[in-house]
Amino acid sequence: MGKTILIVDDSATMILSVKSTLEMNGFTVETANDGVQALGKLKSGSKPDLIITDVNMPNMDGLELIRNVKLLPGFRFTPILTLTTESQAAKRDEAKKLGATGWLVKPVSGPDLVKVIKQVLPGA
Amino acid sequence: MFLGSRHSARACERSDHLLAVVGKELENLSPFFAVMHQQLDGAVQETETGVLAVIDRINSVHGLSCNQVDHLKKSMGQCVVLMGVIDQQGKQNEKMIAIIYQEMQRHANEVRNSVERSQALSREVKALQGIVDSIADIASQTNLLALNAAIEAAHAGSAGAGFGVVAAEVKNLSVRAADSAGEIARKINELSKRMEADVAAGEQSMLAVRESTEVLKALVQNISDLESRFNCASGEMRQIIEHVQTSNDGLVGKLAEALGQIQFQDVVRQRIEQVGKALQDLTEHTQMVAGKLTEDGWDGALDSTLEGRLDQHIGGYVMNSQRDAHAAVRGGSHQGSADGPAIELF
Repeated sequence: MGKTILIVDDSATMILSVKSTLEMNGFTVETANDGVQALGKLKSGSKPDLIITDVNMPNMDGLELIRNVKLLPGFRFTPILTLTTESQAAKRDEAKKLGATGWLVKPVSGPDLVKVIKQVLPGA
Repeated sequence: MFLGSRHSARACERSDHLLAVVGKELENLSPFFAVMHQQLDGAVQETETGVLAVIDRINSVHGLSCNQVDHLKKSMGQCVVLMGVIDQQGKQNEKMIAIIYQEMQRHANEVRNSVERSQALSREVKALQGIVDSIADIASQTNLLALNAAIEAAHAGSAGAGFGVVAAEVKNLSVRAADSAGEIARKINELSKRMEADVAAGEQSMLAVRESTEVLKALVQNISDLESRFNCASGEMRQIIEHVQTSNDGLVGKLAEALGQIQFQDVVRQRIEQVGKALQDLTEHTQMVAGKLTEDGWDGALDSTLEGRLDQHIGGYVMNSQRDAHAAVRGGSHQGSADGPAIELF
């Protein structure tokens, strides 16, 4: 069975394009439209192998989501990739400090995204 | 003095009128900007709808492609099962053919042995003819001897009467021997003909067995050819499936690339949304200026300037391209302008 990935983004096109790319490559995908919804899913029993999150989102942004996920029992070592248009070095540094696994700037081609995921999730 | 005062009053009226007109126009900028905002929102919606439709089509193409590969794989699976059955059947056929071939060889040997025995027997039977001829010849000579003995017995008169009886008996024996020899010769002749017929029939059987063996060999070759052709066709089908699989993998890669490129819509959306915020800001500013124009005794001081508002937008930018565009107009450069790597693993 393929690894499960949670995609968090407030853009419907981003969610669908990334979801389609990952499903084509054998991954199981869950989605959330912002940090609050993502956190709710994790607290409700969802156990993704990887989280891919946007940074600038309403309700709860990606950095806040990373901070909260790392505090959740059982998710301390869950890898988190940011996929964002954000280019401020300060935010990138903050994401790193909070425990993000990597920083990807939109747009990212499907094959590049899959390559990164396979690096982060050996055996995927 | 009076003229000057009248002139000044007219100037004031004109100024008030102009301020009122400008104020009204500034107020009208609000719906103007609202319309522009709506247009931008509509454009974002349309691009989003279009992009979602494109992704849907991409997924459809991928689905069709996967179905095709699955269908071919199923066909190949059935083909492999069929190959296994044919291979098994072929092995059974080989065993059966070997048994039949062996049986035919045994039968051919028996027929050949039988023919050879018949031929030998026929030769021996024919050899008996010479013995029979000798017996017939002896019988003939004995008959002649008996005749001479009877003549001599007659010449001897009464003294030869007994000898005459013996001569008569010898004659009878010679006649019976000659008859038996004739009967034996006739029987040998009949037996010889039947044996020749048997030999001919045996030779025919041998010929038939040879022909059957040839037919059997041709059948074995046909089955072997059929298996070879089937194996060849299966191999070609496997190659086709592998080719389709490779093409499908390539297609998935291209579709994934296209899906990545589609992310431009999110980039564009965020830039347009930033423009929308700027329009809203501009609306607030014009409303504020319009309000100031109607204030009595307004000294020209503003709560905020357009320049200040514009520069406040720098904090709302998320992309360096936005900051670059801003700097290109306003001059200067933004902090941390260098783009980091598009992909960085910490």
